[in-house]
Amino acid sequence: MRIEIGENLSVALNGLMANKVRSGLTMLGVLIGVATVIALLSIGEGASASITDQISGAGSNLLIVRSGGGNGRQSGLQSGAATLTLDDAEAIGRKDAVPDAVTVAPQFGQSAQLTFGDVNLTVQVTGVTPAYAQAFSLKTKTGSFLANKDVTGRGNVIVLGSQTAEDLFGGFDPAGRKVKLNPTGKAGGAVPMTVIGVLEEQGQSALMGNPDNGAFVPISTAQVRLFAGRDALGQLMVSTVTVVAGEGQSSAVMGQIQQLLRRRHDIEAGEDDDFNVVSQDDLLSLVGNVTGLFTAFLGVIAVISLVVGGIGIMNIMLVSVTERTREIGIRKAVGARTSDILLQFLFEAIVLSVIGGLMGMGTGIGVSWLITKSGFVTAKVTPFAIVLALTSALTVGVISGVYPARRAAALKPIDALRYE
Amino acid sequence: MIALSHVSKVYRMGSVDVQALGDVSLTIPSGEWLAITGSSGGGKSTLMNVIGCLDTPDSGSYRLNGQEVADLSENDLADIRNREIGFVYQTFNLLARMPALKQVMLPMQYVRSEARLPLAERRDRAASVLQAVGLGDRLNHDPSELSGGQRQRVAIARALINEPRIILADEPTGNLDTRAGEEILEIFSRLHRESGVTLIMVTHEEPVADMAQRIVRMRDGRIVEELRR
Repeated sequence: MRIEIGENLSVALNGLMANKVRSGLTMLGVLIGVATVIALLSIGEGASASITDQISGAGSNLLIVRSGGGNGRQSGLQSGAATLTLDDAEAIGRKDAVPDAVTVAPQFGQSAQLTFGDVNLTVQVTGVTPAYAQAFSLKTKTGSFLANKDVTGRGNVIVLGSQTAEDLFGGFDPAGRKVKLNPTGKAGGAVPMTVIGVLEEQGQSALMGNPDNGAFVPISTAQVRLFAGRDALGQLMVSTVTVVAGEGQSSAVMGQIQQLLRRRHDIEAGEDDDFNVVSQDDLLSLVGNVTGLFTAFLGVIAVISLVVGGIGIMNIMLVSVTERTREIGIRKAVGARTSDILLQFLFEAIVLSVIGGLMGMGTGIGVSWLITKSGFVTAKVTPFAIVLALTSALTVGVISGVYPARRAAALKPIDALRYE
Repeated sequence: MIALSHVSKVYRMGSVDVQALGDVSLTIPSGEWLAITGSSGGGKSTLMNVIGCLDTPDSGSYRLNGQEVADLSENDLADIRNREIGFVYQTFNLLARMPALKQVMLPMQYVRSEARLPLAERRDRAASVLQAVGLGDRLNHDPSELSGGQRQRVAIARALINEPRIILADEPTGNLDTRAGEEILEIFSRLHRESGVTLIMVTHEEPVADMAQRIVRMRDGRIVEELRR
């Protein structure tokens, strides 16, 4: 059977134009269903993406090694020794122990007061090595980040986060200026530090806090000149070691580090670790579970709205076909075949669903855009959401249009004509 | 040529069986003007519906141009209604909210593809048929904007559009005033005279029946009287 698209389309359009209110209401049902699905899925997607970005945006394949066991055991402190020392960090950095680590960045920091002129600011001052900038992909806006010679020479230099620089210096470039650094809880003894660079704005990161509000100094300066960086045994302490693993080597590196540190800390088999290693993958999968649940929840709401919309469409179509039984009778009396009637209703349903679906797509994208604009959450419209919404709308529209039409078209022409 | 032999039809109304047609035999040669009269409920309309292939008999044989109708498929019957038969009803049976021109074009839309005219030609032809029934100035009026007589003329134009060999008219003047009724009858009369179609008309008005060449009277589903003029 050949189907003339143009002919059927014009018949369908005539049929729809003959009852604008009914057509409009049906289209509205499709529109709302499609718009809801797209908007909800976009919000879910956008929220998951922004959370995932915060974790993975810091760089990829990161592992964080912290002192203290997973259950809070601090054997090192009890024995007066730090659980994580600079020697540990250097050991992790050696290729023979942890061959798959690419970058190893130890950190040691505390909060301190920075003073410039009459401006006081309490910030987290982190002692780091140049590797830190690599691990977290930090870039400087002006000046440069800490160099190796700053670490080896225990230089009194400081790199400021973008917000810290803004708060201390306002608009002008602080490079070369001296700020006074006074560790929290330590009276007197302010140390003058030369600003050598300001970081670009980074934003909140789940793995390193917010670098914008912080300041960075050489780790050696932090340990020896600024803060109390030695444990009871005189070893240099670190608070955290950030390790970048090679691509796909995250769990291998984790195992290598655990093995190495257990050996270095003389932990016997069966005893708990006195440190813990968290990988970005662990965090991502944990967060992925939560956001997946969130998206599924929104998806369920979207599906319910689609079903409700579909029932509305089917309702209107059923009433419309019943109402049009006489029309079907008249058409059959002048020679329409059952298939002609079915095609007419099928095309009407398709036209309604497609127009309603496209308008719903526009509305859904518009709503997502408005939500993004409002700053509540960045809605992310995905092709999947659009395809899902449009195909469901088309399916619902066609099924609900054709099912009642089949019944009416199967009537004998005389019964359809006599229908009151 | 229409040939009915021993045709019966029973309707079920609730729990009662109604004999709408009982053993009707009737032959109508091509080109005849036949009137069917009788009291209401006598089976006139059922007979028309069977002849017009809108309804099927329970038993008996109906041969249309030599072809046994019971052997035809639903699609064949649709094509016969489309090409061979034009139906005019008492209640017009026009589609709501559709202008006269499109009403008349409707049967042309259901002509099977090889014989179907392009849209523009259909429009021209519908306009000229409407012109012929005196509605040349009402092409774009909906039924709600037309008088009863005008609506029936749209219906006649629709029945004629595919040039059928048989016109069936079921009380075509039943819903019209005298004057409009006379105009409609004048159109039928001219049509029969000029094109030689077979015209079968149900009526209960004696003067209308008197215009036909033969009158068949029905009662309780049977032919009780036949009058050739």
